[in-house]
Amino acid sequence: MSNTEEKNKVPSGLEIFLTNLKHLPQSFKDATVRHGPPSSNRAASQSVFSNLFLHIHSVRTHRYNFKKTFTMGLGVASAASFIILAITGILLMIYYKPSLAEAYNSIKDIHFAVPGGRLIRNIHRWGAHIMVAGVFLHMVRVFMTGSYRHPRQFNWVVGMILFAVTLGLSFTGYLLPWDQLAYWATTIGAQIAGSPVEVTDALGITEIIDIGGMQMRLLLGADIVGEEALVRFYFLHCIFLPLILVTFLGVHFWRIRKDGGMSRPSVITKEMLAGTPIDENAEMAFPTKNKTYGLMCLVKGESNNVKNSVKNTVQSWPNLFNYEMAIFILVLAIMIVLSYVSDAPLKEAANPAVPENPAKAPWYFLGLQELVPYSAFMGGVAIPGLAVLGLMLIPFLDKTRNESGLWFPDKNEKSVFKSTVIFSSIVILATLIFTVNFGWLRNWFPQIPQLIIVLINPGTLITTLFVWWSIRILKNSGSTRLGAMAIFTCFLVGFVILTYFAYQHRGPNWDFYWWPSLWPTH
Amino acid sequence: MDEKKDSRRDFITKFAPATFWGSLAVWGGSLLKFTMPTLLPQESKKIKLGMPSDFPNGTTKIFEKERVVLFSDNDGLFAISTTCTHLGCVVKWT
Amino acid sequence: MKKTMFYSSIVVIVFLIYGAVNEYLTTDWRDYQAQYAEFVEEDGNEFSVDYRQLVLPHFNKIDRCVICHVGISDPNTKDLANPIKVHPGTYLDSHDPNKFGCTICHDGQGRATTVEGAFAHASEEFFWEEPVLSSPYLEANCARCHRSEMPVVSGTYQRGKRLFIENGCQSCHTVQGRGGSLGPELTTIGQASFHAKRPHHDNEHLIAEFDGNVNLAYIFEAVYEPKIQPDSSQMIDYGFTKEGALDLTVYIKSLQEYSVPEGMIAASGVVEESGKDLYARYCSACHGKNGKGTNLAELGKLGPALGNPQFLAIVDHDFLSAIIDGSGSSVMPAWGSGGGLTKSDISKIADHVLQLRKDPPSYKEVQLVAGEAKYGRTIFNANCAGCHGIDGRYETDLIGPTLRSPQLLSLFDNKKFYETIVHGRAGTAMPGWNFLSKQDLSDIMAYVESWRDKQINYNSFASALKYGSAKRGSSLFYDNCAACHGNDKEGGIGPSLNSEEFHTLADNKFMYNTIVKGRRNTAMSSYNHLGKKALGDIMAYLRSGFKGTTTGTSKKKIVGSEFNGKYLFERTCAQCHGQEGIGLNGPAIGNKDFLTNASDSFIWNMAAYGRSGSQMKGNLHGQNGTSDLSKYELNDIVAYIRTLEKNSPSLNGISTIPGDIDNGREAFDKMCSQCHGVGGGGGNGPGIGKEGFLQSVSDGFIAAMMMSGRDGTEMKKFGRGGIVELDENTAMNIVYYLRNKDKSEVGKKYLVGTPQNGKVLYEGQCIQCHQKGSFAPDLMRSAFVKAAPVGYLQATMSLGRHQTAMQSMIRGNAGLTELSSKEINDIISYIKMGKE
Repeated sequence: MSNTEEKNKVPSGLEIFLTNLKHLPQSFKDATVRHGPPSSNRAASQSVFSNLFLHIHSVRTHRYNFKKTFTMGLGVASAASFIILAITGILLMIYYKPSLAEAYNSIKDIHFAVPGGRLIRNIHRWGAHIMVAGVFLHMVRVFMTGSYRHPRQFNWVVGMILFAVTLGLSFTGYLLPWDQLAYWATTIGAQIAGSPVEVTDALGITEIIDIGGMQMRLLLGADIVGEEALVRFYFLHCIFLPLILVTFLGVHFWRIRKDGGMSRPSVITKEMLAGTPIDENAEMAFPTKNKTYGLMCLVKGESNNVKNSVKNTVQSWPNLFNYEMAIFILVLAIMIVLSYVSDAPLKEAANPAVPENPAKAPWYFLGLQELVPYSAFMGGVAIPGLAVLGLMLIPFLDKTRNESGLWFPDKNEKSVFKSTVIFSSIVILATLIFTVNFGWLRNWFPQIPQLIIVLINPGTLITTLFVWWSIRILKNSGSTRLGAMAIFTCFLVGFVILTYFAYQHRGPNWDFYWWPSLWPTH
Repeated sequence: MDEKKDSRRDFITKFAPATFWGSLAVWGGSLLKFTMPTLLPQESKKIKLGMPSDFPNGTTKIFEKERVVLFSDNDGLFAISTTCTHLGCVVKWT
Repeated sequence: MKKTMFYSSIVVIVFLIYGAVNEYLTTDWRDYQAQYAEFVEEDGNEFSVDYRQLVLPHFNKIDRCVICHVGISDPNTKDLANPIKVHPGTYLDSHDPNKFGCTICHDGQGRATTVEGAFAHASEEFFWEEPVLSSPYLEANCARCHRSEMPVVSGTYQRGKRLFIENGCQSCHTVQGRGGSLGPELTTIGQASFHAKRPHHDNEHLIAEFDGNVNLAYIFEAVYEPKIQPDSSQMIDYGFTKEGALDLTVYIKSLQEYSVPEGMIAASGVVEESGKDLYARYCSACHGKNGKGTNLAELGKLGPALGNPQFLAIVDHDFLSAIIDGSGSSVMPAWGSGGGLTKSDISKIADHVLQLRKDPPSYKEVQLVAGEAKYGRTIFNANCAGCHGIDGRYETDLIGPTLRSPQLLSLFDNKKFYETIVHGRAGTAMPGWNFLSKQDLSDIMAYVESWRDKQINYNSFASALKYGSAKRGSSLFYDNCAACHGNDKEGGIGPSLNSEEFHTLADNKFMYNTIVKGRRNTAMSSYNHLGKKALGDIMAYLRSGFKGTTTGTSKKKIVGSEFNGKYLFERTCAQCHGQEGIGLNGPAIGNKDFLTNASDSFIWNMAAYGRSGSQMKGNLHGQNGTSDLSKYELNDIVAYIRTLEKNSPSLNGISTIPGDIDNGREAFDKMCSQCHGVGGGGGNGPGIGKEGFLQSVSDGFIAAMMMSGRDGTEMKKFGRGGIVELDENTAMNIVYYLRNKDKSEVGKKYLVGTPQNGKVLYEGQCIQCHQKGSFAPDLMRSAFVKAAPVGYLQATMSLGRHQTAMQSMIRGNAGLTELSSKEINDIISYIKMGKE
């Protein structure tokens, strides 16, 4: 009686409260984690579904994606760098003071007096380099494997935007320490932004429309690099550009899934998959062999994933996540090691009266700086602008749906690549040797109008030769892909050689020296 | 031999996630330490207000900027901060 | 994958732990603070190891030096080892570290917490431009607060400053808005960035020698081995010793514009400097330390020797000031507008330059040396003949007046010649030949003396009296004496010569002394040159109206109270005879020659009984004169006048003759200014309105020259019998005008020349050296032309300048060429054309 009574007894409010209190940790965990340990495929999938951060990945991942020689992990590394940069950047904001009087001092404080400040700043600086390099190489990989092709045209464009934003982030960050390096590199950058004035001046329409001046003032908030510029750069670096980047990064990731995962060749042999994780029961993962469902009734046609086979796929949890974690921690390790090897540069405080000589831009702009002396507009705005535009348009010009996901997927690509490397190397080196030895138009005809030099300078000459070369290849092969391949390779080689040349062989007054040790000191 | 190798691989496979999270924890710790200021940008708390002979018995002098009151009586010379220890306001000395 | 993850994680953990250990356990400052804590705990005090810093908002600085130097203001630590030891010396007593911090004095990177970072010795690697300074370079930083007055620490700074001043660094380098512009500005050289200023490639070792301080190394190199600079540098190698160069380095390092709050500046304000220092600072680099001039290859131009005696002789303060103020030359800065010097500075420098003039030997010294006329002649012809003609004989086109006019010779005794020679006539072409040796002067005096006619002795004078004819004498008197003494001896500028009293008292000896010897400093010149026969005739005419007997005067000395006499003289006589008898309306009875000549009795009688026909009335009781005096009072006056013989007042440069200035101006403009220029500023005739002239002559001299003219020159006689018969009032007005006119009335010397001709001559004779950019000064620059008086140009061209490339251009001077003075005037008129 008493037993049943006890059983049927309605618990009092206090008892319920106490019971809930007792179960609080468990119920909190249930609400947050929402699923059991990923002990089975199902449970693992469950984990992925129920987690925002995990579900930007698909539940299963094709084994080809794990092929190290294919992606080289560059995309993940870039994203990992961004995450690390965001964390360290937010922390640096605690101590950094964006004012002329304090910016430099606050960096010194971070270096000398903040616990671990030196390390954090070094990681941030190295991270920036690694991210720029990672994004750039990622782009090269995507191009060379033809992965921009249908259906990934749009994501290629997004990627290009991300590339531009990455450069912008790195460049705006350059000014913030307010040291000599920062000040003069930024001054050069601002001058390039203002360089359309060269053209408007030559045409005599600067009075009417001063695009260069407008751009420069928009960037600096003044005509010279000063406190206004510092605040603007601080805003761009810490708020505006990161927001843009995060937004497009989201789109970029989301598009990967919408475009059917990463590109891969139509025929995948067993050898190609050697060394990737394997799931013997892959074909049992879904009730059907292929994915058949789209967003029924709501969208026309099938989504890209439809008909994708589950064959050769593995569970994203834990395979893909381990892969990403490994790359993340590898990138972090590299950054930390580099941070101990070498401090982030901090030269003496900015001194507008004493120019750095030579004042070199950050390395990723050095190649352009090699072209800028003749015409800031051509070398700094027109040629890189056209190059980026051309890159963006490639998937819309090369509309073939040939293979993608393989290095040099089409036939002849490798040979075109090789011959182009040789051709463009010769062109670039010949131009450099010529200009170093004989100068250019201004040296021969001091009175020559600038407009002529704007039109005819080593930059335009090289570009013209590149275009000629690729059109020739396009005509001979009849393949847009090969033409695009040629011009892409040309620019790639040009970028590498010019960057190296400007980094190593340019000294004071942008004169040629074999080694920096030969620079004159007066 | 092979077994040993296998066992090492097992070890790594088993502990890799742990070291991953461990390293993140260490790093996170260092980041937290980073946020803790070590040097406060304030002037020295030792202030020179004058020589003891400047304050003979019975004087009371208020240093508003330094937030200090100096007074001397038969018991000696006293310096008291005018900053309230309760909520940090400045006490009006009368 | 897992392997990568595992090893990467391990790397991350290891490195982070390593970093933490590094930061918390093995930092140097923690060790030092632990040592100090241990030391303090022995005394029962507490000390926690922690970050430490000095916050200095007024400097916008944070100095963390105390993170290691924890015991810096703890006197107990004086025996400990360095980082935790107390600060040496008593500096901290006056420089509270909590207020001043460390880096304000020591430099270094205050924010750093490591030894390398704080000292920043190899400055480029540490990217800090102010490495810690060691002694004595440290002293340079004292000047950040101790602005105008520096405490002596080791004296290095002060020695360096002296070197900086004395070597004229600011002649080329501007510091704080003051200084030349040939070299780079040095106002902030002590803060120069190592990008901009660093030692030459070959001198990189200096950076190490200066503990990685590029700035110090650069400054040291610049003063010690300036030749290593690029070829375009005009920096002069002064050949400093290493010690000197180090001293100078300390001083130059102190040249900074360091922002220090107002209340912390120990001494500010401009230090007034002497003309000597100002000259050394701003002029000596080019013009030489003692005004000796320079010929520096670096400058590509001569630094004219301002100390050149001939230059000094012909310049005046105004000219120098004008040139200093704004030379307009390509090399010399305009010190007033561009060089930042004040009017008072410029004036002080000009004074200093003029002060380089040598003191000429005194007249006494010259007199003690026996002169030889023949040597004097050589010297004269070498130095003076250019302007005054060979042997002093006038040639109409020469610049200087003839010196052999009898009137001049009779009015000018040797002393006056001496004075004019050694002092010159400021503002005219006559330089002061103060650099001549006493032998040279004595020789010239002897030569001048040889021009004078032999003095007629009294006996031959007396014998000539016997044959004197009053008739002939009347015409001679008219020609020679009437200008002053009136046609009928009734007097004019000079006293009347027809009174009974005069002839009674003035015996022949008295007359001889007056006529033959003249009365120096008055208008009465010697008439020795007329010859004894003519004098006999004049004497006959003088005595002709006199019916009485010349009794002469007793030679007896009159005794009286000089003191009382002075009182009476000033009340009675001074109205006409002037204070101390310098002469006003009445004759200058204080004149030495007069007093030598006149006996006490002569004076007593004149004073007592007066001179009929003149303003001089008898003053003895009962004579109805100006005063009513007793005999004794007259004795007193005579006794007083007699004292004047010994202390005869100099009348040179003093206005004694009264007159009316407006009347005088009118007459001068009408009759004199054609030749003498507006206000006597000079033209083709001498600049008699100039101070230089007026200071060296007496009123009497001017009057005499005017009334009797100067024989053999363009200066005609303006007295009676002359081209214009001036009455004595007008003559006195003119003298009065010359004396009392305002300086501004004096016009510039004008010059009648033919610029067209001058242009040809200039291009033929001058342009080789004076061409713009050549080594000699550019003469055509307007600032120079405006400032340079005609007299200066005339003198420079006529005389040349010894020991310089500028040689005499005038005929007869064995110079570069043989121009006539007319041609010189042509050149000057060409140079001046259109620039004034």
